[in-house]
Amino acid sequence: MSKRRVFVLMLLVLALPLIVFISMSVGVLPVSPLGLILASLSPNHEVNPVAWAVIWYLRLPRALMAVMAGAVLAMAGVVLQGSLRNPLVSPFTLGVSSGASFGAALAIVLGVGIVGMGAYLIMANAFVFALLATFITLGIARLRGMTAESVILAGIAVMYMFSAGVTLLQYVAREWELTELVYWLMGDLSKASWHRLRYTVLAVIVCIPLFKFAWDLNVLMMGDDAAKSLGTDPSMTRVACACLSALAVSIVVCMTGPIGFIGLMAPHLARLVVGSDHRFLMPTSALIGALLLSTADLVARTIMMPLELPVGVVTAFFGVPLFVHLLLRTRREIWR
Amino acid sequence: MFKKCYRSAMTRLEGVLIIALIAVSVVAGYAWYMATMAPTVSARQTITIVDSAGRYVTVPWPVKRVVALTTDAAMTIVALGAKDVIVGITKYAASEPWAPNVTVVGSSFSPNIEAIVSVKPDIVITYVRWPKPEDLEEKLEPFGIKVVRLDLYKIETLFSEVKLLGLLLNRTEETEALINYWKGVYENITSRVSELAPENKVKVYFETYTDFKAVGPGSGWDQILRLAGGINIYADAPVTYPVVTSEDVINENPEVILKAVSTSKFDPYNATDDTPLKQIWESIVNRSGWNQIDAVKNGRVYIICAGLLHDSFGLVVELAYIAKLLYPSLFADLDPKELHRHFLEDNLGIPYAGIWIYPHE
Amino acid sequence: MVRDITVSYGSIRALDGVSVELESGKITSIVGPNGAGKTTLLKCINGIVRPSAGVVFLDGMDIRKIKQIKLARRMGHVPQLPPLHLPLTVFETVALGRRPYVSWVLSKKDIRTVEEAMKAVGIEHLSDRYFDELSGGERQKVLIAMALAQEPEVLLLDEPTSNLDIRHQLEILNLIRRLAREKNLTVVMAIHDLNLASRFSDIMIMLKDGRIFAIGSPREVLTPENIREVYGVEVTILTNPHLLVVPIGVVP
Repeated sequence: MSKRRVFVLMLLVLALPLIVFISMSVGVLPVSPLGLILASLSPNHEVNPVAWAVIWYLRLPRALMAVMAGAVLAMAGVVLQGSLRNPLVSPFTLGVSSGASFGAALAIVLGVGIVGMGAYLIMANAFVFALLATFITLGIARLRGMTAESVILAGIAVMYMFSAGVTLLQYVAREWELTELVYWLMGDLSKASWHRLRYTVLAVIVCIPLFKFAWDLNVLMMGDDAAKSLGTDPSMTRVACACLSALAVSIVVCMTGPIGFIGLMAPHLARLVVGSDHRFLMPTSALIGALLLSTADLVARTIMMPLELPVGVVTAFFGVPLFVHLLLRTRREIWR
Repeated sequence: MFKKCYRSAMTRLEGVLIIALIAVSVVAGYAWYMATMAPTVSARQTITIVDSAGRYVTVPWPVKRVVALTTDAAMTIVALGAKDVIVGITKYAASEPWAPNVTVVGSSFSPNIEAIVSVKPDIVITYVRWPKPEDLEEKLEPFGIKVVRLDLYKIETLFSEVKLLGLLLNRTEETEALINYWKGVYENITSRVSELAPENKVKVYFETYTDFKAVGPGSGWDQILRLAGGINIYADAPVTYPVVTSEDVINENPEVILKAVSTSKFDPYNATDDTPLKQIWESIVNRSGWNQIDAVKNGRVYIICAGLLHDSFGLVVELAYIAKLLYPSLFADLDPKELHRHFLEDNLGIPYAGIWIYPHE
Repeated sequence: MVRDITVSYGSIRALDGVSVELESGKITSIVGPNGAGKTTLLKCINGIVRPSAGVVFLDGMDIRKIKQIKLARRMGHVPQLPPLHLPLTVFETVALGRRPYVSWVLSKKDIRTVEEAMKAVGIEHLSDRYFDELSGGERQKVLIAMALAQEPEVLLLDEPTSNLDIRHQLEILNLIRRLAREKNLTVVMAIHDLNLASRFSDIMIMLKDGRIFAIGSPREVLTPENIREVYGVEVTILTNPHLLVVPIGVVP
């Protein structure tokens, strides 16, 4: 790894806590951690619990969730792109997002769900259906030997099926339920709380075993046959990666709604920095994913203050031009 | 070469990480301690009420600062003469002519907690069902802000909710006057409707903003039609907004056709020229085969602008308009325009203007 | 080492009852017309393809009983075509060959093995170049280096010289022969160039329609009668000094 790459990587590592700090310092209320710390150091300060509460209960959980959700989405993206040997794949390729949307729609429009009440009904439903969609995709792909192509095609089919379900539910929905559903589908981090962070940490933990597959993903680049002769079982790798990433992404999506583009973009940006060796690509993707989502959320919260944009809008509007710019600028072809 | 570079960076990084971790833990602990200190208790009087969600809520009394997360709540408070009580308003009502110029705090579907906290309200008013308690009450708890859930868009609970709101704001007199006026109108209409014999009831085809989209059970329009004594030909549709075919409407042969036009297509309040409404009216009347329908033959096709009529007491005005269109002789003494004027000028404090119905006398 | 293998792709029998004993330190070439089953046989030997009947033995052990990773430490396979795109440097590509030995970090030994493999094939000067930027011949060399990095006992090559010019063809085959002798490797290569095959292999297997048509030393196998029978081509065999097959015409 060249010196230049290490340098960029260090920059990224430093940028993350910086972005988190900036996120916590910005908002409708002119409160910042730095300000509070400085105030508490001065001798005759008045303790302002509201200010601390804003930082602790509102801004910090949200900033942490942006970091973790971004990292999870990016990890899932890089792992799926590697195991399916396709740079167009995102963590939603297996049908996770459309499954989650369908589950959420069921809960919102019909009040029908698996377990729980209120907000938890929607969350639990979205989670269960996201997993269900993944299993259907993998089940179909298994009939065709779990090749990369079969997984992708099965995922597309499942995606269409659940999307159609969502559309049907939208048609049946009453006015208010429709509005609620539309808001859910936009994807946002405003519902972050310490309670939900517990689940997000779970999603991060689920992603850790994925590192074990770094070499397998490297080897898969040579093709299924070559992979076998190097000691890797391609379909086993695909199933494990798909299941773990689907689980982690389902946990995230059921809380935030589908946030697009991070899982697709982060791996590509990471490749520009560290190349395609998955041992470096995976952690770098996670880092970049965390950075992207944190920055996007920061923009979403501040660009039309005091109105908040849904974060999914920002990732698309700002992500796409950035991505295209990088695409056109690259001298070497990373992908075909 | 990469190895050496990587390794030296790694050991330096480890040291930095450990120090950073310790520092962060210390700061985090301090922050948590600070944040969980209870806010100072003010010496204000409190009152405990039961809101429309059936929960007991204890709030400071009288309520002096309110965040209205719904248009209905904001409108009702203004109608109660308590406009200056509103310190935060939903984005959907922020640009309305009658609304106060205060901080926008999101909406009932995506409340901006920090904005709400920043205006230091006594209570937040929102719908019974949205947002969910996990997303509002729980998040406002560390700040000691209470939530009172009132729908104010359902006519059957409207009056009792307004009474509760008046109590909270300590404006019982204005509330009584307001309720008496509007309840009077409402009961006047509903009692006359209840005396209508079923065979005299009028068949209505009601079309909403999209062409050929009718209203079915569960929609607000359907409810108004029923209260006004009309028979909605799609009252037993399987979905709330059924999409219907031209032939089916011709087959049903309604006696009155009502078409609702959205504010984005035609702004009724600021309108001076009714040509767009005329064009819509003509396009409906000229639909192929529709000259067979009784409503068209007898000239009983009307355009209604949703505008300000879908919230709070506007619902009663809406009811009056429709009742008069359906049964002009029965409601000959009813003047919806006067009611509308009263609503806009006396309740909301804005001049009566605009074009709301087409064709209008 | 290979006994009575039958492989079917659907209703087509790619290999039917093929049995052969492979010797270490010797180069065995497999020749035959297109579709005779050369690639399939190769893939059976290291377990990429599972035969529907028959067993492959490595040192007396059924390869199905050997864990895939362990097998990969003993058998290397050089594919005919490299993947469509590979965004890795040459070093990274050859390092893939160490996969059966590493779990995360490349040890000093691993790196040394990779460097030696590259040196043996003659591509160490390309170490930092990207695989996609290389010519066909260079890519082939990289793939061979990758297989060598596995430190195998058995080396399987599928058409190793198809994309190479004359010089490289000779270089590679000389290299393979040297490695076979020096490291006592068992080398099996599928090759369609009969002349090169005869020059560089010790044992030749001629396949026809999934069966062994002839087996023996190149001189024994490459006779005009055999070639006429298997390829449907009339040839003359010269010896000058190496065996040279000169095609005359197609048999109608």
